[in-house]
Amino acid sequence: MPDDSRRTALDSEAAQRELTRVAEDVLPALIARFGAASLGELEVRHGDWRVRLRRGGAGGSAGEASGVNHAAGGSGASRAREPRDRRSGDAARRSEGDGAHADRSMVTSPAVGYFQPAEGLEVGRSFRTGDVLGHVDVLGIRHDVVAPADGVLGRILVESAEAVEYGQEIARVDRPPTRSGPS
Amino acid sequence: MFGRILIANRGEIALRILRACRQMGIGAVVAYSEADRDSRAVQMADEAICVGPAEARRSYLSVASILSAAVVTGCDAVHPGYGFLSEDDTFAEMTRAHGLTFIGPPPEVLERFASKAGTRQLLGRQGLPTIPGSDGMLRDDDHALAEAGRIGYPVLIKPSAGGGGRGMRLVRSTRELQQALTICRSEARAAFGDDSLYLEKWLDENRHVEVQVIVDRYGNGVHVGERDCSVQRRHQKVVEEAPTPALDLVRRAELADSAVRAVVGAGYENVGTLEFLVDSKGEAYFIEINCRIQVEHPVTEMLSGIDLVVEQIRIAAGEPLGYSQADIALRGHAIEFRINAEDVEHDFRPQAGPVHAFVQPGGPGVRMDTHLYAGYEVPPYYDSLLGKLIVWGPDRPTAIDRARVALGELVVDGLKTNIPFHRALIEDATFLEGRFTTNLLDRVGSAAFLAAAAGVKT
Repeated sequence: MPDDSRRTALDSEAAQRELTRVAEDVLPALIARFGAASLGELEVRHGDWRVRLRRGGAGGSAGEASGVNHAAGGSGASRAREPRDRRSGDAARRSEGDGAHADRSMVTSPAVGYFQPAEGLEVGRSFRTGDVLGHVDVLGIRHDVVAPADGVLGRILVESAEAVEYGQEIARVDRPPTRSGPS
Repeated sequence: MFGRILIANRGEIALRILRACRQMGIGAVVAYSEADRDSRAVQMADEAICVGPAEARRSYLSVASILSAAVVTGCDAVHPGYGFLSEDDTFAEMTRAHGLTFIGPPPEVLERFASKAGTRQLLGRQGLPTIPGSDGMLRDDDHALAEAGRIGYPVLIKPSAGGGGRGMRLVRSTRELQQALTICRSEARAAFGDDSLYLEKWLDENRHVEVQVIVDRYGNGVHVGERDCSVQRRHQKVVEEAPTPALDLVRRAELADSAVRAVVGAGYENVGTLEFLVDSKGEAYFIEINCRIQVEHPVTEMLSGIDLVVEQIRIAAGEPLGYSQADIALRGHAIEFRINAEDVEHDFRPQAGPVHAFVQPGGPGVRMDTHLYAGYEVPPYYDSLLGKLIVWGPDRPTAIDRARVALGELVVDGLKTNIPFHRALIEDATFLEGRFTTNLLDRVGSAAFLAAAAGVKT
């Protein structure tokens, strides 16, 4: 076996260990700190690794990721827990700009009421800005839930007939894959 | 009793209602706008629900949003606090239509007392002396001029739909009246969506004295004494106290008795306040009724030990009063200072921004109702009330001494407040002697008043 390939194998083993360490130890700590700080972007270099966290915009980010986790956990939780979970998500979004509609990577609720998805709404469906993705029933009156940007439907965070508050995140907008790989 | 109440308000009163609900073992949901996400009521609530953006019209004033929030959170009653939807009979009606209880007078009672002119006639028939005023709404300019001539100048032009001193104008001559009518109409239309106006005789030196009443739905009514709200700036109350220094014990009892008799006779229900102007001879004239909890309600609570918010909830739930006038004892003297985010040096301009430090006063007889905390950011969208400092003492001089200590301890750092005004007020001879009248501050000018007070101190 040539020396070169062994070195590569050893390297990749070391790299694998390093990746695990970064993923399990460094990243969660980093995300927690990033979530607490009011930074827009954070880049950390360590050896050959470079990690960049960015809030808002296209694709996932630390701030949003924490919001999504909270919101997803909330749907099955007791009623008393729900609002706190909603607020955690909101807090992440709020540092980003003013109001519910500043973040174009999230489909948000236009009103307080019960959410009903549009017929055939499912993850992966593509849509254009302004497309109606469902509605919120406010005392029997329908308020359209519209797409804030062109994109593909990512995760849906609210179930059919679930109660939503104003500005609550309903679904994620993923961008159609135009360019691959991180920077 | 209710299982869960939606609190459709913000600031200190949202917190006040939340505390009452907790004490009664009732669940509470705080409805909030995006601008109040970090408010103390939201933080303290078991559950909170965002009802709309900062703009009040789309959140705290949005009937659909508030009621939908109550429905989706499983509430069976709505407490509107003060301001916003608190005296809106349409809102009360819609609340009922959705199977919920409005905590306040029932919709038909609110409707009966909705028009100020109509209420004066109604309670006038029940034996309350009313201030001389126009015969109903002003039909046109000629009618206004004729009525003003009959009543005698100066007269106050008041919008029927107004409240809290908003949209009123004082005129002293026919010419001033002619000029002001058009402006008042358009202002009233813009502010309240209703441009009907009426006239009221203006008493140059008057005191504002109001009687607190509680009436259940079975016709049992009591009064909980009166409050004096004569320290006003541009028709806005700044300091309230009880009992009023303007009337003796006998006159106070007569006034309060006549007030409760009149409202029971007119079919009022729940907690309410009847406002009177008292002239220099001690004659009281009824001006209007407030069908809600008032900002200054703690003054009465300090004297009586009665929790007025709890009473609102109990009565709205259909419980009988359970006590009579003889059971109510009013002890000592209480004064409330409204702490506002205002720059006293620049015409009391409203302030917004972060609160860096907040130190709350304490000690015997000191109560502070506030939603402030260090790190809180006062949003620019709503009124400037940051909280209320209430002091109680066995007598007025003791209450003032305690106020002096408490105002000295109170620190709100980061934005300008009217605390310097209050510190000056309690050194002012007119206030110390209990001779304040409603137009005193505006006549001498608040700035001149402050300067004079500062001059006295040094």
